[in-house]
Amino acid sequence: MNKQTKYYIFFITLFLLIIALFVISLMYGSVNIPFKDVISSLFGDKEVKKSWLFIIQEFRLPKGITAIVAGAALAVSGLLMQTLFRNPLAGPFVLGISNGASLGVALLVLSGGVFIGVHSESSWGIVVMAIIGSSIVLFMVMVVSTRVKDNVSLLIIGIMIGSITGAIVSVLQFFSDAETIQAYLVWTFGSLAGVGWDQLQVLIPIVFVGLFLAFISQKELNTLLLGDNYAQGLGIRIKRIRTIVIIATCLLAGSVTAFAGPIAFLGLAVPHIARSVLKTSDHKILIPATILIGAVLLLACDITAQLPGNRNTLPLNAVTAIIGAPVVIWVVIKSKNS
Amino acid sequence: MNNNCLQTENLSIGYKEKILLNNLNLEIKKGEMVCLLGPNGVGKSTLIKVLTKILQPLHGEVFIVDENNFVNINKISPLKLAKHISIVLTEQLPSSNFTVKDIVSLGRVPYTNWLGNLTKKDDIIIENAMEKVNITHFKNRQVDSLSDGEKQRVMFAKALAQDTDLIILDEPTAHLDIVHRAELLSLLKKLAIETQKGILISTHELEMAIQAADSIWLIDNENELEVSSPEDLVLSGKFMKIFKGNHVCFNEQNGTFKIKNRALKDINLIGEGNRYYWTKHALEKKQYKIINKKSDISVTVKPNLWQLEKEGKVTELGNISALIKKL
Repeated sequence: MNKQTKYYIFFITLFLLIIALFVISLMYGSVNIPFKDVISSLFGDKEVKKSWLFIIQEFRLPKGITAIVAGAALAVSGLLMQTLFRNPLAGPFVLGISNGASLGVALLVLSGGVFIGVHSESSWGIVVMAIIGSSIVLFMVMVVSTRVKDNVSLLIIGIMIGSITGAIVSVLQFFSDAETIQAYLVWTFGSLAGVGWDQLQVLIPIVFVGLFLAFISQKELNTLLLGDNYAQGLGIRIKRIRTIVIIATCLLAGSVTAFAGPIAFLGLAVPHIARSVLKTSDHKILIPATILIGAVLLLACDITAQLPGNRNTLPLNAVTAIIGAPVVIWVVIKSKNS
Repeated sequence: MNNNCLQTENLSIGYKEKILLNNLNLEIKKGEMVCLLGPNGVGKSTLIKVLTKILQPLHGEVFIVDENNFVNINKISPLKLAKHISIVLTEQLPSSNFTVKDIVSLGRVPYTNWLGNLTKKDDIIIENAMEKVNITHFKNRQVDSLSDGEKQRVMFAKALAQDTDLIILDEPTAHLDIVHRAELLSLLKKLAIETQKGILISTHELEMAIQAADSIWLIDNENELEVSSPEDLVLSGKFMKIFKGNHVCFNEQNGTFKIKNRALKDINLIGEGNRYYWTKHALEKKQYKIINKKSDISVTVKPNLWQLEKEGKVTELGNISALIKKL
């Protein structure tokens, strides 16, 4: 089979899978809604039960869209980091973005809002603090990246900055009472449920800009895989592409973390699945592939998180690892043996 | 009309603490193959990196010729520089899922649009480059599955696809066996003449360099760089001085190295031609000194056998290993 046809089949299959999973995610939750009624309510049919219509339109539709957007964003930012650092263990959060966001949220939640003057009850308070936290880390990483020449140093410094912010969060936890710690921990589990239409209006444009930056950098990203010296020999401005990649990653991973908490694992796993299945390193193929796989995987994880059926849902972070890790193991073993 | 493709002016290279090479005024002409030679650690790789703008010089300037004008490589865009100089480095290619053709195609990066789409013309150039380096038959294989030597050839094809007037190769023959080494050097030589590209190679391969290079940049242990033709360097005894050691000697007649053998016992060897040469070779390894007068031991090389005369006894032997055993 021609390579090109193989890619098309792969993309179309994933696209259909996204539609199917999207519809399933609309059906299941605290209340199960039949397939027929889900379709009717999507097309604004008046015969559907009022409460179901409300649940779908106000809760499940934005949540499903968030799963697609967040899955795509985390997967692409993971790909960008793995390419920039030529390190298969890199993920969206290696530069400390999630730690920065965590620190912001911890300052808000653990201080009970008094300290900052933002009310911790509103979801926007958390979002704003997460954005401020990750932006500060981003700023520090950018300052450092103009000073160091090689990417390994940058990687180490990113991890160090992450450790410092993590340590500050630990100190804050130590001086907080159990109840506020619980509230903070719930945020760190990750959840798509808090993202409504209002939040999506902010999240979608930011993710779009991040994906756009990744998309226009695909040629440079390919050359980075040869090593910095070869890339430079091909006329690539290393510092410029590095800055673009860092900004794109922060927009993608930072915005998703701000709205849905630090969703682990997905960004690390998806690029591996894409590379192993498609047997390519070409970002022209890998970027769309990771977008689709990321969306599929997060939709699937979110559906799984709803499985207990009643109002209880599993922590999303646990599900992404439980579903994601075996998938990666399977893919790696399969591709190494064939 | 300018005949150079690269030129340096009062170039000094090295690191903050240590100047490696000082005051270099070098040039590479179109169609010329230059070999950069020297022992380890004298600054070969550093010089290559400065010429390709990976490192900055301590002082001085590097010029390339762009539309018949000399331009400092620091004053043109990286993209434009990539259309003038292509590089093949010693460093290992990081692991990836790229195929051979993917890598060679990356040579077209300075010419393609922002999406990296290849035109028909690009495709033809890529195919030609792979053809020239003789890698077309494995163009769809994953690069990770290739041997080091094959990877080296792929990177060379990439450099060809980049279509520059100067190709700089850092130790390109390091991972190649002797056949591919000779092949690569003769290919480079042919390309230099046919396409009028300038080619700069850094190498330890003194023998190959003497045979193939038009000009040699020789760095000695005192960090002086001398530019000369290989033949003049042999005649001036410069190679002997730099590459002399206790265990090798440089043969100034044919430009080859030889392991020095201690000579303990005399042997009289009589004969001629190839059979004589290789018998001598074997005897010298066994620490015999070949003399052409009567001695205790004497060997006569005959057309179909070897005759050994030792302690008055004469033995006839069918091959050299039997002869050596009998000694």
